[in-house]
Amino acid sequence: MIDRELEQILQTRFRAEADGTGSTPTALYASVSGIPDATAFAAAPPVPRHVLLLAAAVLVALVIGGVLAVGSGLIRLPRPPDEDLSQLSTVLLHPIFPCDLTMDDGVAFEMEYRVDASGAPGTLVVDSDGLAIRGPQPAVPSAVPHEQRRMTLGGLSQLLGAVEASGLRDCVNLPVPGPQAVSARIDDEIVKIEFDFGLNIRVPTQAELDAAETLAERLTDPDLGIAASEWIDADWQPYEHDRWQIMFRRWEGLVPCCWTSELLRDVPWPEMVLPDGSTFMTVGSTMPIAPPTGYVETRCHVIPAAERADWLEVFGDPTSDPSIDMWMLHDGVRGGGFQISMTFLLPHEIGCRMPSDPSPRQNLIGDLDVCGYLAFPVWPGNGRETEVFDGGWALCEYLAHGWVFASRHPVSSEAATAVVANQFGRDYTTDSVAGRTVYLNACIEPDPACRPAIAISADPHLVIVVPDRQTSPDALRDLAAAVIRSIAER
Amino acid sequence: MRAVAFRELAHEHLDASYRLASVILGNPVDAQDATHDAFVQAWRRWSTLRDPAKFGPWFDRILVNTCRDRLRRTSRWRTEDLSPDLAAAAGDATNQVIDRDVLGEALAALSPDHRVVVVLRFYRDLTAEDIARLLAIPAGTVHSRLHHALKRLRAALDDADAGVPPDD
Repeated sequence: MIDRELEQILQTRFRAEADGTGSTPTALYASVSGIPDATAFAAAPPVPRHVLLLAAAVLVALVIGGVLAVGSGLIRLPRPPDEDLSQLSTVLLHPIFPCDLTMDDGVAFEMEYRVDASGAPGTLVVDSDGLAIRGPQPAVPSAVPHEQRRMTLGGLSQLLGAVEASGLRDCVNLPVPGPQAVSARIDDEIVKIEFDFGLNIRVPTQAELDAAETLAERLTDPDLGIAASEWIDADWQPYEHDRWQIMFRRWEGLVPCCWTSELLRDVPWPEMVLPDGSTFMTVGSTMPIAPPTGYVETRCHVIPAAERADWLEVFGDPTSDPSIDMWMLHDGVRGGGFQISMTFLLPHEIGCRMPSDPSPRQNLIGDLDVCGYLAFPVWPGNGRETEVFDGGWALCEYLAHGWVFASRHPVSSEAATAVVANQFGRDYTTDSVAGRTVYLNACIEPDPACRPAIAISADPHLVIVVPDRQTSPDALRDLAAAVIRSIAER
Repeated sequence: MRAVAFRELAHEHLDASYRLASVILGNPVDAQDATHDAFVQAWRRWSTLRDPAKFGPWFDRILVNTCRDRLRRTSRWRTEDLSPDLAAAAGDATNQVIDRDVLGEALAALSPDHRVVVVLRFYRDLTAEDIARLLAIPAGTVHSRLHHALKRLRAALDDADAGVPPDD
């Protein structure tokens, strides 16, 4: 049998197996849809892969090197080796994503929270006039309706004052149950606080924990801790959306990968006239956002609520579930079609807005105070790699020129030396900077894209610095000195 | 908003992912479990996805690794009954059924790593370079695995044609 024959047999067999699998079970759709509500979310920042690989490799090396060293009797680890291994084996390290310090104009307070027992995410927004609106986020399946309630400006001042009084700032993430995240505009400055969201990104002080608990308790109160006299409306009232945003994602030719035929409606969209007189190709405005794979254009249109029924009539099958907010329209004869989704807009939302640039402070905080965890298990050996370990590694920061990873627990200089020797092999040199031993490493992996990295033994913690650009040995030493100064100042 | 984006992309890729898992694992029940597990992993790692437009290859890697780990853990492989349409469409039905059974056994005997590479090459029609990127292994390793896997499969089919009983 020649190769080509075998290849054809394999292709035929595999395609038949795939076809014979049948439609994706509805239960699988349901279970996958429920994952965000049932599974802890792990946050992470846009850290280059080689950085993650480096830090993970060093962490693995710490475990292996430390255990081997202890086994040899040459090195004393700060904790018994069994404890180290059992804890480090379940470490998930997640760097956080950049702190989002933007708020829509006219919004004074915004809170992400769970709207119902299923954990469906919701948003509570208070505009600068004191109108509060709360309810599920768009496209969230929840029976909870949107509600509104107006407070006085004095009440709004009380609310913002509570955030300000906490002293918490700048996307601090605290292991305290409460709303998921709170943003507040205080004196033209945006403050954001995250509660028990993702993983703890640094060791909080007791004062921070106390302040977070106080604030969380207040914000989980239906009255937001605002005095009854400062509420204009005595209670929450139903809120009806007045505008909706429709997104049209267009594809050409065949249906984009993976949409099942049951979800498609075959309509002659090129000839269809939409309720505002436009066509599918001219409706609304073009959005310069990256569409999912397979789509060639995204258009967006905002409609008043009074016109919604007319648009639904175009998109939806009259027999379909009225709560559906996404449709796939396909021209089965000529090909091409649209994925269409409709979501409500809150009063402050302009709709069809271009992505905004990050605020200057957002960048500043990204440079100065980003800590977190690597985004994958470093030691998957015992099958418990998906568990989250809230200890161990890795306090980290992005300083001026690179990512800094530090052990949360003390590591002796001997163990640090073992780690570096294990990981760097012979491809490193040592130097002394400000009384600390600094290990300079040329490259961590045989990859042209690899950048030089350094590891610093900084008792009682091992600190690893990964520059974000090609760096000379002199610059590495300067960076090491800066890191050591930073550590000494804490 | 993360949950919304996740659900949207997950639904978009679910069908193809489920089919890929079915081909790798050989049965739809395991494929359901593996696909679900892979999406759980994807959600946990969601914020490492820097560009939603690259969800496909990003998730494919998670899915393939999940399937491969499942194969390694279970150390088993079940051959699937194929629809008679396949044999009829491919030519002589009797010979195809014989080939199919032999091929199923030969595929089952492949290591998980070899099986994954063969499926990605001949089901997904990926090049060796694409497979290398997806699995984060050198292209040379892909070529090597393909070479050895095809050699085993060819030998099994040739033995069957020659009437040699399969090794047990």
